Amino acid sequence: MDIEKEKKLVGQAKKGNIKAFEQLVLEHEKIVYNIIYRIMDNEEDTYDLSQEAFIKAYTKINQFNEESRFSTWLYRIATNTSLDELRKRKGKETYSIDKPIIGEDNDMLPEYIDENENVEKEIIGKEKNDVIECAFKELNKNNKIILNLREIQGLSYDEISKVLGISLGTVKSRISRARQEMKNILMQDKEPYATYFRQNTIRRDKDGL
Amino acid sequence: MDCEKYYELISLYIDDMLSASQLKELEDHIKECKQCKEEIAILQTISNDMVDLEQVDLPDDFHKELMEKIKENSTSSLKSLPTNKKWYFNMKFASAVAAVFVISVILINPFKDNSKEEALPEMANNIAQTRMIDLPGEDDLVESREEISEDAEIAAFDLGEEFQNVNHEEWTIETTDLADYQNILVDEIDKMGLKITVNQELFKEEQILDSILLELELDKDNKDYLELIIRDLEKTNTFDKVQDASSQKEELITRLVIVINRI
Repeated sequence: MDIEKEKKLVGQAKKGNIKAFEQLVLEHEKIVYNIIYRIMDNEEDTYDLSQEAFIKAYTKINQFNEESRFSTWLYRIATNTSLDELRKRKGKETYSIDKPIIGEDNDMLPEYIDENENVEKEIIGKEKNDVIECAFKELNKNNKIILNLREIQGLSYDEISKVLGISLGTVKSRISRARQEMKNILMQDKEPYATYFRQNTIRRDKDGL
Repeated sequence: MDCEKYYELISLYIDDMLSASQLKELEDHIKECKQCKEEIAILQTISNDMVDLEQVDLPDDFHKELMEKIKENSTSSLKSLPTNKKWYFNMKFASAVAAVFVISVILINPFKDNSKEEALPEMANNIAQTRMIDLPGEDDLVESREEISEDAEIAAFDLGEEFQNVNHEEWTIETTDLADYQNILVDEIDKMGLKITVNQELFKEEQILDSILLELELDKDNKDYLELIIRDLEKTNTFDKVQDASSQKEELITRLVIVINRI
């Protein structure tokens, strides 16, 4: 959506035009849903919190000062709504952000145990996604949030700075640290990660060194 | 070699965020450091693979349910006065009235003092006047005590075509005003012996009215109503000045005074 159209819709939504707000919802609902999904890790919470985030945006749209893009403001609400929920639950043990998703017996990814060097390329691609997915879920919460915004949702450093309310310098160092954590998880010599770099040319380069 | 200090540069390199001098620094370094050269390749690979991660699809009913909630949210907030079945009126006018209401709460104290009850509509009206300049017909406002008694039945209320056709003119409440109101409000409510919690975190973020949201020890209906009315005020920092709605204003003020008296 171009900026002029967005401004127009925001202006109409501020006057209470639900149809205009719906246009904005349609434009952003999938990303909002995915931002929250990557924080909460389950669809049930994601559904409720995404709805809550949009309702907040609707009731507070007159507080949107239009210094940033509407999407940036909306993603900030989405992120804060999720973090507030996690804070509320802290100590109640209904949710553990540090809990690894994959258990020792690795039963979620059985196909990875039977690794076959000759599997077709698209299966490798899918498996690679599964491995990255596992590693991602092991990240600590802050690293997860910032890498999702950067790598998966493709936000710029400047946008991330506004969404998370942190300085550009902090964005830079946090993205770097999050990438290091991701690398360290993927480099572990255990399933499902042990095979990850073997499928990439860089690992072969390394072996050849 | 201690390469950790290059990690951030490598991360920025992947995102094409390096300045010319930083780029040169990194290039010079990797000419003689194979580990960092490999680090770039590793992080680049991970980054590329993360981009390919799949987005979760929205559940089928997500959008429909959301829009239903939003529609409900925009129409239900002013229907909820306990004894009144028809409490519909123009949202913007409601916001203006909410301002009057908030200011009334500040100025009218103590609420339970019967000797002051008679003055309530007049006071509320005066306050309204100060905010809604040039409102015609203020002399016609009802001031009789009977009409604001606690037991008064609140009549069905419809602004009708006349209201919808009036000219609207912008009338703004400054947020700095609202910050002052918060302080006064807290003091006054404190004097009444009621508890109030101001969310300072929200206040810092300039969500002034959210931060005013009171933890008054009211019965649920009145509390809900107060919350809704403040939320509506928050929704519209810019209000319309109603040019020709004196009778509506009068009626609204009467209602608000009744609510205040209940509190």
